[in-house]
Amino acid sequence: MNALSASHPHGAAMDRPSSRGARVEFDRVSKDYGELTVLHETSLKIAPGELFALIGPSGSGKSTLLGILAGFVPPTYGAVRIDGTNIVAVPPYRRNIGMVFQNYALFPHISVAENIGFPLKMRGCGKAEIGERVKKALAMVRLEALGERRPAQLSGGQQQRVALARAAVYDPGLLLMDEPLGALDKNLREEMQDEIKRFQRAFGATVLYVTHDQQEAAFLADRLAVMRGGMLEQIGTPRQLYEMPCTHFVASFLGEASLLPVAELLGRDGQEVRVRTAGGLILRALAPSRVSERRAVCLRPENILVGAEARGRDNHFLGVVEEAVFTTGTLRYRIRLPGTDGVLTVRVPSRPGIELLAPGASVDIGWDASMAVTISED
Amino acid sequence: MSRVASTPLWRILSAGIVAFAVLVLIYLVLPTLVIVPLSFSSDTFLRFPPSGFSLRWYESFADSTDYQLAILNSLKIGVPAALLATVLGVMAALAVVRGSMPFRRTLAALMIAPLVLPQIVLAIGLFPLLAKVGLVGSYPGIVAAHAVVTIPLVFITVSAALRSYAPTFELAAMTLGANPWRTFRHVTLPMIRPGVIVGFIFALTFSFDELILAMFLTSPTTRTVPRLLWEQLNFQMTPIIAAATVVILTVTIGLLCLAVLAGASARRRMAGTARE
Amino acid sequence: MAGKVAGASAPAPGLAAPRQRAAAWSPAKGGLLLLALPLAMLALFFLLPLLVVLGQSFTAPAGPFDSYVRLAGDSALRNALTYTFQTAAIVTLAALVLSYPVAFLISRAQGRWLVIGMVFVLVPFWTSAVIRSYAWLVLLQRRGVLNEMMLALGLIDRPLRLTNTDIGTHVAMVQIMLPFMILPLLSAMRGIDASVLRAAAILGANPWRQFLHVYLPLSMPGVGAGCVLVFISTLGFYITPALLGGSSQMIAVAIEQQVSRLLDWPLASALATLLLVLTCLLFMLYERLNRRLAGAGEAR
Repeated sequence: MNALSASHPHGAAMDRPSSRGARVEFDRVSKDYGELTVLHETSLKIAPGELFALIGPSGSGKSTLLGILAGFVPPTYGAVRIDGTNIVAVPPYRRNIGMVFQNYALFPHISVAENIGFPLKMRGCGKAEIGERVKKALAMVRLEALGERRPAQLSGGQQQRVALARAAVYDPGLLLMDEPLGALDKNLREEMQDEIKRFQRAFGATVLYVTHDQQEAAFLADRLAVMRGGMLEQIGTPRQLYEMPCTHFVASFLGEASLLPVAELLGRDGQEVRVRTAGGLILRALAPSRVSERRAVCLRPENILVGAEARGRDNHFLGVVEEAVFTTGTLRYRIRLPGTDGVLTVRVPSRPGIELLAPGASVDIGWDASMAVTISED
Repeated sequence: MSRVASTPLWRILSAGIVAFAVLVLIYLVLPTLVIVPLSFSSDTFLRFPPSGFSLRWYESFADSTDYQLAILNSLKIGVPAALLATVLGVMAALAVVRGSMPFRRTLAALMIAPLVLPQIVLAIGLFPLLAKVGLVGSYPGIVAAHAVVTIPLVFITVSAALRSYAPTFELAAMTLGANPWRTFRHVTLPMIRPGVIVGFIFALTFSFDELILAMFLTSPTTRTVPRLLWEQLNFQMTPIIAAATVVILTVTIGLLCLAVLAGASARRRMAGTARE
Repeated sequence: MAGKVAGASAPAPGLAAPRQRAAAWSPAKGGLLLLALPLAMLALFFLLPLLVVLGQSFTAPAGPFDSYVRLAGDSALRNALTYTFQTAAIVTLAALVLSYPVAFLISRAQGRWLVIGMVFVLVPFWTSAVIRSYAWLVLLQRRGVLNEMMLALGLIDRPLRLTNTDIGTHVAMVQIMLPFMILPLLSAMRGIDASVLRAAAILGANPWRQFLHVYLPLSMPGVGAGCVLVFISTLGFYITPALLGGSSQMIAVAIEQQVSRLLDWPLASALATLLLVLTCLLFMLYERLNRRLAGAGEAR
């Protein structure tokens, strides 16, 4: 933030102090289109300065939630508060929110500098002030030399940085990002992820970040929410969501998971439960209190140990290798469990000297109770 | 069909299709061009081929106070009508394309309807209505009538322009602090400008060409060029009509070339734009 | 506004009051405001006159339905009606047959040929119908270009009568209507992916079959739209038939004559009402076809 806000110590009235991002609260917000409910009653609080990501498949309601905050989508019920003030009746142009669009939405008919200066012009800043602040903003995104170009003359990554500068030049306390990296190729996307993270740390604004890319969300977000069917399925830090998913959907949306359906709950011991799977195995697994029904045991592929390491673990079986593949950095196995529970996906770090097991080989597999988590069905 | 036509029969057939199409295009364009040599005739009546070349009919066209008045009237009626149609057509297109009100399809159909309805029906409905308020033969009456029938032209071109880019530009402008008017002024209008200009030119051309409403709603002092041409056609057939026609044709085609250029330059400019 | 309790999702615990509908800012509200002026203009100078026409048709001195009774009884007007429909059908069919190959070739053309093709279609499209009808008169009249040329070439020894004949008028009308057929056909044909035809060819269809079973069905929305457009426009055609004549009157010409020569407004209005209703029905058909065309375009 400092680089941008320093340019106008006595800034315009609309500029909020950006030493701290805005506090955002969705209070029982919902959206119906006639009979169709695209967003069910949703409440969510985002802390000042937090980078909060919404992820989910298309149609899950994440864009609706973002649209409601931006002011494009009028909610049917509920309140949206920024720093405690309900802004539902405030038009988008008075919300003082910055937004980066999927395709950047840079105005094609004016130059890069004019694009960045646009919000300042709308706020009635003088020519000299606009010029100075645009220059600083261009410097911040390292595009000093390209101010006079048209957006169409820039590369995708450059356009992305212009969009960022334009959304931030007026120091909004809240930045919305709608799939901002969706139009970039993979390498550039990873580079820009670093850039956005740096930018957000420096800028200090609260960010609501919408994406369907779970890796991007996990890398960037302080916390994230998985959305599905117009509802928030689970909220937490990326690590919480990965390690302690509540549902099959969350477990499989974030990374790979093998699921063993639970037939019977045999007993409980503090944080742990003993269950019998549908295939007849007795397993010990974690039982987070927020999951009410324990319908399946979820296993992450890297948490399953193979060979000598597997012996003596809380859960230990003899499996049969069905498939063995080398991928960069890991050996990936599909190992059939005894009984009828099916096949587990297992990833083992590939180091020189570690042999790739042959399909058909019997192998010890095992994991501690803390490595497996019970989830509800879907 | 293009690349399979390898057997002789198909080759003959496709050559036949091309020949047929060329003949149709000639039929489409040539008859009108017959007027051009006639307008340079030195004869006092229409005769083909003309017995000599002269510019006398262009001279008498230029000297004719009837034509001068009619051209002036066509301008006095066409320009305000096209302006009015442009303003209203842009408003309607914005509302229908960008708005989210119910019955958008029906509204769009209603906006196009005046162009489709035979003008004679509108004319005999408008005449008694305007007669009642004393506007028959006046400029405002015919301006309103022409505006109504040309709103569809602006509506169609501006709607197409609005549909050619994603509404995120306008949403972006709003998040950046532009109110609806400034969003229109600084973002929407520059983006749809070619569509607006093309729509305006179409409306202007239409008004310059329109006969039936002019026949009913103008008076001898407010009559337009098409009405004058029509009246002359029914009285005399001197080559002055041919001369007038060539002038009108040239102006019309000139205006349309402008419209095409405006459209093309817009497409070029938008080509590099990131689009949905 | 009375708060509506959402049926499906129960209120959160501890929440006593029913949820209030959010009085949210919505971009849709501006839309209606924008629409007010154009709608007012249309209501005043388009819909109201149409109502006047309708009302006027019931004002015959001999009783409200007299004009319709006379319309049904007058053989000249009945003839005009059937003649108008006949003409519309002939012109539509002829325009379709002439336009289809032209539209096909232009839709496949590129670069310079595309520009030339479009110029040949668009210039007549935007040339005044008065001027084009006048050109036909110059061509077809007794001492017109065609007769003079044929006389000079010795093909005929007396000028032929070409105006005031159906054939002459139809040839002129088709020429004037052609762009209205070619343009919708073009927009449908440009939406047809060439790879569809290639796929049909790979599957063993000969060009004739490709055309009949693949191309023609795909171009049907354009055919429909063009036909309705030409049919509607011909129904209301005034200038060309008024100038060139024909074996009978077109409705629009009859309406104009009833008003300006016979001053029979009620009868003219009854005729106009008929024309209006027919046009409306056809326009609705056109809208349907257009919607299908647009739908197909969006699905691409």
